[in-house]
Amino acid sequence: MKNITHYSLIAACGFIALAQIACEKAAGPDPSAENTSSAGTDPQIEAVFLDAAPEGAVSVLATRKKVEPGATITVSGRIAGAMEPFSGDYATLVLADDSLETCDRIPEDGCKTPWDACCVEPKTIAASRITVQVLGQDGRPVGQTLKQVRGLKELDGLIVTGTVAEGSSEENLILNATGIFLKKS
Amino acid sequence: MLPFSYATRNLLRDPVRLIQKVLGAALVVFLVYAAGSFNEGMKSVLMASGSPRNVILLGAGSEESVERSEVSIQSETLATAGISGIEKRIGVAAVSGEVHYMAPLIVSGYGAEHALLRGITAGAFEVHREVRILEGNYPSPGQILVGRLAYHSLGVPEEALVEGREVEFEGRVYIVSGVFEAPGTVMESEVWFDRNDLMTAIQRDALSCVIVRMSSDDGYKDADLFARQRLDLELVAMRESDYYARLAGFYDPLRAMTWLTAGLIGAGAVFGGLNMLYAAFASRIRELATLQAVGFRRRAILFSLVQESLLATLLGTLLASIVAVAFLEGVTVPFSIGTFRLMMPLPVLGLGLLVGLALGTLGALPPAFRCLSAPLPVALRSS
Repeated sequence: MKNITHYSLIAACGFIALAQIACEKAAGPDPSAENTSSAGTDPQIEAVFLDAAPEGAVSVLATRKKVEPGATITVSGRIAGAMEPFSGDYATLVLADDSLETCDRIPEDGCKTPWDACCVEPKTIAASRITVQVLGQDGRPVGQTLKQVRGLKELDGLIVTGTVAEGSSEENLILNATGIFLKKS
Repeated sequence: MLPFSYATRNLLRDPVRLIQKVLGAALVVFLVYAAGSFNEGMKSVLMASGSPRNVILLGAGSEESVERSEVSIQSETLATAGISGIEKRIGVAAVSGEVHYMAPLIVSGYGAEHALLRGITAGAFEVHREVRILEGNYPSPGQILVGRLAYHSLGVPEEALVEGREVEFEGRVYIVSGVFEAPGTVMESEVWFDRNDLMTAIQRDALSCVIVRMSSDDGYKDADLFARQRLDLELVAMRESDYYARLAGFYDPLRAMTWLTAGLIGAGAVFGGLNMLYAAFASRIRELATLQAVGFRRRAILFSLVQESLLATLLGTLLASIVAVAFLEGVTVPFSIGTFRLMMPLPVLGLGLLVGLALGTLGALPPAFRCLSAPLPVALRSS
């Protein structure tokens, strides 16, 4: 009788422990915690992320119609338009116009890299994207990738405020970001 | 234990069977050497062809093949000005805008054969530091510089592609201005043209790629940053070593096929050898039983049989090694993007030796077990 009680006690403890582990796994890490701070992120990158969307955003296509180096603009778009829109070494990304038909918008398309918009004419892709970069104090892009900063990933929608880089043209627009807002998907 | 001389004497008892065993083992080991040297040769030429300091700027979407890539001609100047950390010598930046093109050439007096053509400027010698002109000069317009193994790809004698000889391409005759070497790389099989000549001949107004040599091994990221900041040029930056590593990956199925072919032929030889050993040992059942009857343990007899088999297969391995080193090593093999030499490095020789040992040991065990497993009275009465 005593043995049965012991076994029941051990079994009950084991069950409670398993249930606890299962509940923790189901809950997973707090997504809001991941989106509010990123351990190891360069403070210069962290500083440009905004909690509220900037006003007066225009599309990438509209931005490219009139390019004035030094002007402050606010652009809305998605991280897309290239096979690898994030640099692995520097804080730069490719921002594409919302109208760019990426493969995720094509029903039953099994493309593994839908953000590269491989079904669209290269000329259309080239005309629908800009480079966004976060500059450091030395005037060069910060030497850290933007990928996974606050959960940033391909196809995420962004509103970016910044100044148009010197040398930018209608064919090639580089935006030095001073504010990045990650749109809720 | 049975004396070692018992194994050697038995080996020489039937010279015809000994020759069969030795040649069978030699064939299997030689096939291993052939497959190994083919793989090593191809892999090493592709790995050696790319420098980790060099970065190739290719047209986006053409990362798989530089011949398919198109890059605007002003990319060369823009890259020179826009990439920081490019290596310089006497103030000259190591940048080379090149045109790569696969097309048939007609060597004077011979038929047309495909070769990889590269349109270059003097900058090519700044980025490809392993290139050295062995004879002749840098090509002027109307001239070509040939790799020292190009004759192999073109299927002509070596003397047909020396300084002063003529080659026809797209209806125009070019004079060979010299021969260059670039040890261990695919460039040695190429034919280099003056860039303007080649672009005119193939009616092309874009480059295939721009190659920049960085001053440090981690300079790649600056070239990559340039490609990302100049989206209008539609460039992709790749380390030259990564490009050739990807090409090596492309040839993986071919290399696997060589192993498979060698394996299949080798398996045939192994089964033939096993059959022969079964027959050889079976004819000696009574002799082996007698040895047991006079007091030798089965383990000692088994050991002697393995010794005997090993002697034959290791003789075969030695023969295969001599033949492979004499006739296989250094043989040039043309493939789609160049030529490579068959190589016999230590790992390949070691693998051959292991196969020889395995053949001798594992090959002898099944027939030996079979002969020794028969009950002694039955074995003694067997004919």
